[in-house]
Amino acid sequence: MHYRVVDENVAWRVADQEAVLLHADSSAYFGLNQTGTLLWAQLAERPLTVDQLTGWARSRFPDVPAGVRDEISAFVDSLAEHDLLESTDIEAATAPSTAAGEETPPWESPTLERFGELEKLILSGE
Amino acid sequence: MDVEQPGAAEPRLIAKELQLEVSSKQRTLHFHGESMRPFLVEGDQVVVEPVEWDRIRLGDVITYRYLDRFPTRRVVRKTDDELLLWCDNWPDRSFKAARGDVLGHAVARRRGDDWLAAGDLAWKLARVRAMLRWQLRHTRRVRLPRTLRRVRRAPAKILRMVGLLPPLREK
Repeated sequence: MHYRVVDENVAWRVADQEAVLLHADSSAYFGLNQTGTLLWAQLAERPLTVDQLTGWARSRFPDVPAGVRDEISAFVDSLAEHDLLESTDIEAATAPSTAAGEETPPWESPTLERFGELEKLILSGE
Repeated sequence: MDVEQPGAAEPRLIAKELQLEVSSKQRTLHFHGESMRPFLVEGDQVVVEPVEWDRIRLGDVITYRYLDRFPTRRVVRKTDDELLLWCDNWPDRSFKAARGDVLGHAVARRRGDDWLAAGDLAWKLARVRAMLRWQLRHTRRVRLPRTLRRVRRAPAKILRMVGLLPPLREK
């Protein structure tokens, strides 16, 4: 099963190598750790399966644990549970990039943290 | 003066800025205050779109980050890296926004059930009216008093030249 970022509902930005995600309809916002951010960036580029993400992680991180697939699967499930990802029949035309030459951080289990919900944004005239 | 933006990397503040990016007619933003009256009044719903620096025009109403707030004001002057801003209802005050702090420009307003979009005539008229007010206010202060003084003194100067008035005494 492929997963895609629900672009129409999600805005995101990376700061200090960690992504902040906003669900536009619910105004809930989330934080990803560094590994989660790298996986999210792959998903934002193209729909991917858990196996494809696992393969990418193994090529990117030299120190991934044996249970990396389960960790990624749980991460994807939590993203889908919060309506940030959805399953799709569309397959990626290209495989995930291996990001050769980029600095590789140590592997850590990818996490999604829900920070809360924002109130309606106020534009202040004063 | 550079204003430090504490907490700019805080997730909550980032998420608020993302709210601006996803604003739309279905996800409007709330305007607070009287500073932009009559163009924007308390409770108006506003749609703000990200805008490239080169596409910002004089008279645009832009939103920028200032600490943890999002002031929304009218552009009256633009340099390579800074905007001078004015509030339609605060003629005596002006503000500055650095290029990197500009988050977007207002493209639509909802007041009650009525929508007004940036392409509408009323929106354009409000822009022209505000810019004229700003120009008049800032032009008159500098130039009109000097002109008026000269005009007022001209008759006496002519009369002195033809000898009908005594010359001014030196102090």
